[in-house]
Amino acid sequence: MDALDRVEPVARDLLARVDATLVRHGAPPDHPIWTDLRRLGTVPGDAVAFFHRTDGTDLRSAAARLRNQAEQYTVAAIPPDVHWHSTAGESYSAHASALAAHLSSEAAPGAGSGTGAGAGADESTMAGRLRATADYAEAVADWFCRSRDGMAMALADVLASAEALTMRSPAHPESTVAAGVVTAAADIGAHVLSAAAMARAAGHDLLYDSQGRLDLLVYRAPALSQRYRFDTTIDLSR
Amino acid sequence: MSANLTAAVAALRDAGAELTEASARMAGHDPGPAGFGGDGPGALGEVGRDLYRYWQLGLDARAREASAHGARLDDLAGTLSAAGSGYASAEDSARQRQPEE
Repeated sequence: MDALDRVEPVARDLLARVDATLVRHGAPPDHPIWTDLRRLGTVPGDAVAFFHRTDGTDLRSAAARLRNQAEQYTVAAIPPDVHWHSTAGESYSAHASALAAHLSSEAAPGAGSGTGAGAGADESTMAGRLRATADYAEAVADWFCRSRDGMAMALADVLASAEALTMRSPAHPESTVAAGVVTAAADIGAHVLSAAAMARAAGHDLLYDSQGRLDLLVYRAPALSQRYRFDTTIDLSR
Repeated sequence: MSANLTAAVAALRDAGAELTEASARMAGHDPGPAGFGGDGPGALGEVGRDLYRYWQLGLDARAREASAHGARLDDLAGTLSAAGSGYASAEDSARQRQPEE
């Protein structure tokens, strides 16, 4: 349970009043809430409800499964040679080495522990691209966490505000709603939508920063003048 | 075919089959658009759908990589097996041409 889980039930009634007031009476013409209402196309209550029901748990589960698959790639058994001391044997070794290196830097012949490999080198392998895909899912989950924290802080601010007291004042006839109530609803809504707008911008940044990292990895076959030939001498040493 | 070669062919075929299965499983790792916030309201939902589309591209690429590499390993196993069989046939023919002592 995070901060948004704790504060959202407390703020739910206030947000419902804010949304109802904005929908029925609008906001003062020059109020800053109009900018975020147009930009986001949603009312404050719906924005909060969205982040409250989305916490990235499914993304972390998916990322864990991809990391597990990447681990399987690193232990794949591709025999590095077949003990043929000939052109055919060298050709096999070259192909096997290239296939193993494409799969995983750890699986490639002569690879070390793999812990010293940079992220760039790792992402040139299939295992590395799987990890990058898992990283992306976790980055989106982290984005949800930060967004939820931001929404929780905004809600905590408005719950303690004078505008909240105004909104909680005894019910008033809809036709004679006080101008102060409309302004209070707009102020509360603007503060909440501002947090939602920041979350949206961060989501765009995340998407922009991730471009290219999940692209299809193209296999480069070793450049050999010949593959297997049976007219060469093959020495089966064992 | 020698035991060494038979084992190598089997190992390549197993690794290829594992990758083919990994490719088939890839779509099962997709939590769907709602996991990325694609069901959100207004512009928040748009960001979620954009994030989801990029994830889908990545996951599809991972599936294609696994499928293609599984086929490459299987192809290498087939080539190796054919090479081993060719060598064994040549060896048998040579042995049959040897005069009995």
